[in-house]
Amino acid sequence: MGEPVTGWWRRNAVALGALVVVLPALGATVAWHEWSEADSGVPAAPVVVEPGQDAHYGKAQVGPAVADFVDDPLAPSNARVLRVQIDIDPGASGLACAEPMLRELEGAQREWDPDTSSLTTDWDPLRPASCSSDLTEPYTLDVRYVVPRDAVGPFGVDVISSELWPDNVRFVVEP
Amino acid sequence: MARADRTLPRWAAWSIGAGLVVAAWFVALATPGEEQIQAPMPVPVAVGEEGIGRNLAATVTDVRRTSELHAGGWSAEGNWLVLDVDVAAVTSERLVRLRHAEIVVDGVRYGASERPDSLADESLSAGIATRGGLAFELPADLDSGNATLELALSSDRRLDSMIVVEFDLDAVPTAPRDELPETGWANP
Repeated sequence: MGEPVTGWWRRNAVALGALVVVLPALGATVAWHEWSEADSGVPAAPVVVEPGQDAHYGKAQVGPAVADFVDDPLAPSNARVLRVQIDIDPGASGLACAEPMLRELEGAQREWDPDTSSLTTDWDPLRPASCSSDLTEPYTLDVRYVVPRDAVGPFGVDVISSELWPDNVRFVVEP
Repeated sequence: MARADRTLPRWAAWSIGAGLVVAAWFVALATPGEEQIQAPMPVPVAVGEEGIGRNLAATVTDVRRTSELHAGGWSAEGNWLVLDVDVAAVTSERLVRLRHAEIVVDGVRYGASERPDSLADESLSAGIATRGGLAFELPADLDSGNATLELALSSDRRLDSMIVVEFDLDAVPTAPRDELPETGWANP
């Protein structure tokens, strides 16, 4: 029994050798093809700014960020309003950024948009919720989020400027 | 001679070949089609129960029918099916709206009416329920049958959770006049 089997292996040695090379190469090619586009459109890993610290973002100086829970009579009873303030020194060329999103850094890792419609915010042009490239003097971003009472932090506040994409800054805040 | 003994008989080779073809047929039969692979993932719940999907949590708290529906200053007559719903996002509220709200009766789909202000296309908060109503304008003679409410975040329901609530239209109480609840926080 042993001799013919050995003969079969010997006769097909070239094909078997090719299989050993081709199968891993096929796997590697398919994996590379699928994964090469998996992270397209995903922002680069954020520059994480710890509480009390600031960072360079483009030509601007951003931070530090502080957060506290504030009362708002229009907030639902099972939620709290988190107010985040971020110091921005945009420099001479200004800095444009979207309203930052809030995300839970632990637990369920939920995400919240700024609340601009349901709360009693006193609008102050020097305390906007997003950065405008028109502003060249230092100012403070003032953003409010309605979060459930079980969301206690720490939170990440993501500041993203489309001009500086994919670079982005994440402020860690603990109310 | 010894080598000839080890050769597979011709009938066995043909049998194995035929067996493999049959096995391949079964594999093809058992492989789900594109529609099944991309089908929404239903979360079936009853009226009053909370259904929690990937990023949508919803509870139908009441179902009723009326021939005259009011919503604020708006009103219309018709064969209205009205549902009170608490709805929230679960993990993220980024671009999240209740974009799919349909009733299916006997295989026919009816979308939530856009005539009154309702929960249809309302943006949702993560972890904080919004309360409101959905109104469906049904054909005048449709008053019985098994109805299925579908709620999902995208009008393209594929590959995401869909809260599914079944109820019997015959058993839905009817009032001559009804009010669609105003949309707001569930716990003001």
